This record gives sequence, structure tokens and C-alpha cells, in this order.
Amino acid sequence: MNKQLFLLPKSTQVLILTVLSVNLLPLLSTLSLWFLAICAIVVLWQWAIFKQLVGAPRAWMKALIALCGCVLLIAFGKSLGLLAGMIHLLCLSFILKPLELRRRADFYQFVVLSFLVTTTAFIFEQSIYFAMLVGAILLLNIMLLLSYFYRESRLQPLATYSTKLLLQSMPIAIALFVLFPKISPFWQVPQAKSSQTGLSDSLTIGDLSKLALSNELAFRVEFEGTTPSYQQLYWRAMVLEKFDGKTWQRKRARIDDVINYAQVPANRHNISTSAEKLVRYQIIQETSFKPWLLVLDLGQPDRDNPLKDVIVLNDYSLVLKDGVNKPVAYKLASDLNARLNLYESNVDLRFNTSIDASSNPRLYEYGQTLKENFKGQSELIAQVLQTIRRQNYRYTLEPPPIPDHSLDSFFFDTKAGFCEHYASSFTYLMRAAGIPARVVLGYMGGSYNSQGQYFRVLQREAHAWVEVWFDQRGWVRVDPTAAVDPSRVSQGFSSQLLQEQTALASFSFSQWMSGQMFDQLRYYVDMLDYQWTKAVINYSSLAQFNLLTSWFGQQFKLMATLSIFVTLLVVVFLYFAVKWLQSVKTRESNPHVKYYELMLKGLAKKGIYKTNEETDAEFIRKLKEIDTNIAMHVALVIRCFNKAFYQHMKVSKQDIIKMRQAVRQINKTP
Amino acid sequence: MFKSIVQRFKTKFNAFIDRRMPTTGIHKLSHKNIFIFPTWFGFAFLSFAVLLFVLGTNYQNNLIILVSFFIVGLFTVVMLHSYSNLAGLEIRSNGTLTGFVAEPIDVSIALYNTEKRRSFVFTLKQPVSSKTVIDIVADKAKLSVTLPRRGVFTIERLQLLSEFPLGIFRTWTYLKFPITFIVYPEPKPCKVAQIQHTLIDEEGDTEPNDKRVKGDDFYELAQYQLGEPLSQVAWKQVAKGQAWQVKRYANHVKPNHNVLKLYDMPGNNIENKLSHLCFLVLEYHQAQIPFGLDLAEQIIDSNIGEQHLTTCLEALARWGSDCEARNE
Repeated sequence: MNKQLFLLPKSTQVLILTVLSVNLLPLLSTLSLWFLAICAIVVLWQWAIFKQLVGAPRAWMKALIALCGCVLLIAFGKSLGLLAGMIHLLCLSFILKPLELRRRADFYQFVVLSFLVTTTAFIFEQSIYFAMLVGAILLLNIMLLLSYFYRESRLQPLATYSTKLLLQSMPIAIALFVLFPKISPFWQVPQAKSSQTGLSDSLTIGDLSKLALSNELAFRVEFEGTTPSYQQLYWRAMVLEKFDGKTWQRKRARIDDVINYAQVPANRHNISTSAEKLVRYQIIQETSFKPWLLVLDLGQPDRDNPLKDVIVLNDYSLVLKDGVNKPVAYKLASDLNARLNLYESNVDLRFNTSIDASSNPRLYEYGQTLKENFKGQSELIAQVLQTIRRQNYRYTLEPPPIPDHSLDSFFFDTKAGFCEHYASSFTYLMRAAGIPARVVLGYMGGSYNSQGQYFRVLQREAHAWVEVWFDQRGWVRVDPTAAVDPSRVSQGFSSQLLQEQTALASFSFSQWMSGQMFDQLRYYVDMLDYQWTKAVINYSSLAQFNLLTSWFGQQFKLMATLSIFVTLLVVVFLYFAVKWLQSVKTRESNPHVKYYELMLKGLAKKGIYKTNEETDAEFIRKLKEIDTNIAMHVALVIRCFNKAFYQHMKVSKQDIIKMRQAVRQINKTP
Repeated sequence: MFKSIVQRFKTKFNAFIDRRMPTTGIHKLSHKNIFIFPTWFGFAFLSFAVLLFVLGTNYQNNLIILVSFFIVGLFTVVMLHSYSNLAGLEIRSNGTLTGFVAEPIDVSIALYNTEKRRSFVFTLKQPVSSKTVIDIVADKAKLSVTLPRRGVFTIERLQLLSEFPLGIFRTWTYLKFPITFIVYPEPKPCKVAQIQHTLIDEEGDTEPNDKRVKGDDFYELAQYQLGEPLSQVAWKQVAKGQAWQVKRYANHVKPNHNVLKLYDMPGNNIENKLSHLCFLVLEYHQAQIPFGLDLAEQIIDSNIGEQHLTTCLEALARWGSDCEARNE
């Protein structure tokens, strides 16, 4: 065999270049800058080769580029992490593959690589817009594969045909998606490295005011039945109890320790309230790469719809074992009036009064004074809140700089700060006065989307508040922010705060969208994304179970498997049935064609063929030499056929009967 | 052992094909005569879907799982498209085609119902494989066949193959058309002058009263060797002062005027002789000289014209085939 040069059609070459430049778009945020630079160079180079500006690459050039990429990958591999490293490697082979298209198999490999690269982008993001982008790129990939077989240089028919293929395969894909059993992971896989968004695990002054600049979505909530009032929407994420003079931290630093030592056994976290008093709601939380879930006090996973791997901690917060690495949906039930005194012991409480007196001496001294002056705990707290309310404390996103994050200088000198300043100082003060207190981190409030009937909670609504221990009532929430800016806890950001936020935040698309003109549109768009997240991204085995149970009743297990096969079979069967019906229809309406074909078939069995060049008369003459009887019948059939076929005359019943008899006679004659 | 099983299977399969798709001049493609099977890339594509499913399941990522199901869906849909690309196509071809050995013979194939855009390839494995790509817009296809042997052949099953639209499925069919190839021997030039010379020479020389010669055909002039009968010496040549030569005779029918004899042809191989004869036939036809053929088994009277040429060439192509048939 001589080696033939493998040549791709021109449309395929153009599509390869397009796919090369477009496929990496969804992965832009994952790929490092230096890698994107390499990609850009390689794509430009291939474009130049296509335009014949430069010659075909030599082997050593290809090897050099591949080697450079690999060396860089090894050098940066550690910082990238396992998953991103593998994605980089995949993308590298993807962009270099077109330089090595020597056989048809190479082309196939490239197409499969291209599909894989596009699909892996879903590991990092899953919003509906992103899915649309990936869908469009998949369409482009189908076009690429099709162009090799279509022998069509224009792109438009290619696009039409590919879209047809895509749309036709969607019903099967959706049917499989809904019906195919959801399986738990086969083995552990490297997770995406966190790109820090949202709440961090500790609180230093300045953290939340930074986060308050972000208009990104944190989570959405849909209430079943009654919606609590705005003041009750304190979304608890985590509790911070350890203070080193500057930063509030968790009692246990490692999440594994938290799960091991603070977990409440499943049989104990039952709220003893009657079901009517419970507030039921579903939270759909965006990716945070942190284990913390959000819950209204006092909440627990809904008993009817438990999410796997949700752990209840004895500080009343909820944790997802593997972290929120993709949007998760979970249903909760809360008793808003329940007392938070279920699990505490004296040892724990003593921990909540320990502070370093030397870190903020003035505040400590003030606390000691308060302790002496007030016998009642509630009077003491009221006095402090009164102080905050009466004196000229300000609630602001841009407080004057405080040296060394000192709580002293905030509380006594600058008197201007965000919620973390107040929560932090207040807790310190309580502890100084000998009252067990701790900081709770989470979100406060949310904006209502009336179209979709759910709350959106943005990152800027991150909040810190205080919990104080009362011997009879347990942990009681005290929010010093409510004292300085009551509107924050009743309506959300005040207009002054929003102005500050707009001024401080850098330009963002969502900010721009939030202008009056786009409000309506924004609501719809957000609702669409909400439904997508709820129905598609979070379609779990539980959701599947519920859906199938509602369709088929309890015996669905057998039904599910059956219906998959039935759906597939029906699709295939319908196709052939339609084809068959069509052919029958044409035959029924054209009986002359049917008998004419039958006659030719009968003659063919005898080894007689009618060639195209022969006229009917010649054919019959030829037949006469063989068998006059057959020739007679054939002549009859041909005459009837011609009458109907060429003169467009309706075939009479007698003619059909005659034709049928003639064909039968031909078949009988040996 | 294994080979014989394969052989038996092949025979059975061919018999099945023959029964299912008998030879006819018009083939309409439908589920009765279309075969379909995934290509290796098709299987790879399907396993890619499985890979994505595993990836999606491990990441508990519904969208990746959705893409993997989409690929399964695409696989199914493409199967139907692949089939309908060929289904409904009507292919017609028949006739008797002539040509010389080792020269391409064009088989023209007419296609009907090509309004749907299609892409396919015709392949014929007889005996040297030939291939042609069908232009999707044209309704005619041309297939070049090169045959290495002289004779009369019926066409093998023609394979029509398509991997449209995504190369995932291969659809194909084997069609047998009532086409006959008549392959003439390859014309091999020989020294016309020499043969003509001997022919003319022999005619002028042979006297009707020469009893020894009568009934025997003059074959060649050979060097005289001592002891040979003097009556066979070619005196004419001797008289001219040339070297002593003897006339050799073969036991052949006496030739007519311009009758080309197969056994007069040079060469020790019958195929070579036929090739030379073929060349001469073409030469005579070219020169508009009437000629006849003596093929021992068959004698064609002297004549002229295209029809005569065809008859003669066909006789050359068929030469020996009757004999073989009789032997069998």
C-alpha cells in the first residue's frame, strides 16, 4: 500500500481552527494565564499554516512545543492541584493534536478529545448560561465531525443538519436522564480547588465589609407555606468561639475534628415541636467550596427529604461532609421559637467566657465595671445596646482605619464600623463581664423574587451577630447591628449603605444589570437559573424517586427499567413504522407500480432482465422468442402500467385485476 | 479446520445474499438489502459516553451525565440517519461491456431518488478492487473496473458503502447487476511484415501439383540440414543465391486469402498468440483490409467493418472457454 496524504476537506479544516479557539472558552477561569498564552500562540500558528503563511511544522518543532508545555506543567503542577493539572494536560494534547492529523484515526481522536475538553468544563460551573454556551460548543463539535462526511463546503447546511441531529437526540438524552438510575460515586476523585468566595472560616475586622461589596449570589430559599418576617431571617452558617485578640476562629480548626467532636447523633436532633409550627423551606446553595450549610434557628434536615451526608453540629449549624463543591439543594425544617439549650455543658460554657484581657484592656475594664454595676444579665445587655444606640456610633462600609484591628480603638475612639466590628466588640465585652458569648457568622435577610416566589441572598448580605448564654433560655441571639442601624435587620441595606457599596465595588455586570430598566428582566433571568439549578443540577436519586413514584406509584422500580427500554424501542419502532406506512401508502395508491415491479421481479427470477436502453416493444419482441405466453402477459402489464404512469390516468379496477392475474401467470410459467 | 469453517460460513452467507438480493437491473434500497453496523469509531464513541458517565457519576455532576446520555441519543439518531441516507435510493445498471485486458472498463450506474443529500462510495472487489466516490448531487456514477484476464465475466456483487453522517455507523449493501464483461486479449505487437511475407510467399510458392505439400500448411523456412529431402528445399531462395533453406509444413487447414490463423502467431503460449492475433485484427481493421479468422475451433469468414471487428474480438475473448466448459 502506498502512503497517501491524509487530506481533510476545507470546511473541516476551518472548523478545526474554530473549535480550537472556542472550546477552551468555558475553561478560561480554570486555565492559567501562561497556558492560555501557549494556546493562543499554537492556534495562531495553526491558522498561519492553514493560510499557508508558514510551512507545515517539522517534527522537532512539534516536539519542542509539546516538551515546553509539559515542562511548564510539571513546574506549575503543584500550585495547580491535581484536577486542574489534569485539565491542563488534556487541553495541551487537545490543542496540539491538529498538528498531527495523519490518518483518519487521528481525526477521530481529535474529535473525541474536543468533546471531552468541552464537557469537563461542567466540573467547574453549571449555571444555565454556561450550559447554553457548552451546548453551542458541542453543536460546533458535531458540525466538525459531520463536515468530514458531508462533502459540503458551506457552513450553513452543516449547521442546519447538526442542529437537527442535536435536537433529535435530546428527547432520548432527557428520557435517559430522567429514568436512568442515579448511581453513587464509584471512587474518590480530585475536587476543584476553591476559589475563595463567600464566608471564610474566621472573622477578622474588615472581612465582611470586603465581602459586602460582592453582589454574587450566595443561595436561594423557597419557603413552603408561611414565610417568616424579614427580622427572623438570620441564616446561621458557623459559630466562632475562639478569640486571639484579633481574629475570631472556630473552636476546632479542622473540619474533620468538628465532625468528630461536635456532631449530634442522628437520633437526638429531633425538634419536639408539633409539625404545624415548623417553617419548612428548601435552600439551593451556590458553590462555596466550604462545608457550611445555612439554617434558620433552630433547624434540622427535613425528615421526609433528608440529604445524604448532612451533619448536625451541637452549635446548631449544619455541615455537608464533602463540602459544597457544586450547587446543592436541601430541605430543612425550623422551629423559630425553640430554645437553643439542647447540648451545652459547663465545660463548653467556660470556654465561652475566656478572653485575653491584655489584647483590649479598655474594653475589658469596661466589661468588669458593667459586671459590678448590673446584677441582671439582661439589664447589662440592654445597657450596652443602649450605649450603642445613644452615642454617635455609625454603621458604615468604609470605617476609618483602625490600628492593629484593635477593638478598643473602634469602641471608644472611631465608633464607626460594619457588623463584624459590633459583633466582635460586643462578644468581647460580654465575655469581659463574665457572660458566655460567641460570634455567629452567616447571612441576614434576602430579596424576594415575586415571579419565582423565592428569596435570593447575595454575598453582600453576609452578617455576624452574637449569641449570649442565659441559664434558663440557652443561647439567645443579640444583634448589636440592630442597635446601630435598625433598617439593616428589617429591610436590608439602607440607601446610604448601597451608595457606599456602589462607590467601593468595582464595575460588575450584575451591578449594571440591577439598574431600574433591567429589574424585570433580571428577575426572569434569575428565576430561569433557579429552576435550572433546582431541576437539573440537583436532580438526585431522591428527586428521581419522588418523580417516578408520582408517575408510576410505588412499584416504579420495575417500571423505570421497563420504560427506558420501552421508550427506546418505541422511538425506533415509530421510525420504521412511519417509513413502512409511507411505502404502503404509495403502493396502495399506485397499484400499477406494485404490479409492474412484481412483474420485473418475476422475470428476473427466470433470468430475464429489461435493460434501460430497450424500448417496451423491443423487450416484448425479445420475450416472444423465449416464450409467447409470457410475452403476452408482460405486454398486458406494460400497457396498463404505461397508461397510468405516463398518461396519468386513474387505474381502473379491471386493469388491476388483469395485472394481478398476468403477474400470477408469469410466475406460474416455468 | 478454522479456515474450512470460515469458508463454509462464507458460502452460506453468499447463498443467503443471493437468495435475498437476486440479480436485477434495478435495485431499490430498503431494510431488505441494507446492512448496518457501528464502525470501530462508533464503538469508541459509545465507550466515550460510558467514560463520561463514570466521570459525571464520580463528580455527582448531572450535566456531565446529561452530556453522556446525549451522546447515547446521538448514537441512536445517527443510526437512523445512516440508514435513511441509503434507503429509498434506486440504482440501475445493466448491459454488456467490452474492453481489453488491463485497461479500465467504465461501468455506468444510474441513480434515482438522490434528492436527499447523500454521500457514499461504490466498491467492487473484482478481481482487482476498484473504487469510486459518488458525487452527491449527480445522479450518475462511473465505476472503473480493470480486469487482468481475457474472457467473459459476469460482474461480482457491487458494494455500496456509506459512513454518513458521523462515521459512527457503516451502512452498506451488495448489489448484483446483470452486467457482462467481455475482455479482449491485450494487443501485443508482432512483426506484421514477417507474417505477411511468409503468407504471401507461401501462396506464390505452393504449386497445386505438389502433392507433398497439398493438404499440409506451410509453416516456416528453416536452415537446411544434411539428410533432409530435397523436395522440401526452397529452390526459389537457392536460385536467388541465398542460403539453402527447407520449407517446413504443419498439418493445418489451408488458409484463405487474408485469413489470420491463431497457430501462425509467434510465441509459445496460447495467450501470447491470442494477444498477437488481437493486435493484427486491430491493425487490419485500422488499415481497412478485409480479413478472416481461423481459430481452429471456429472460423470467421473474411469481412470488414465494425460489426466484424466486434465479432472477431469477442471470438478471441471467448476462445477456449467452450473447451474448458466441455472438459468440466
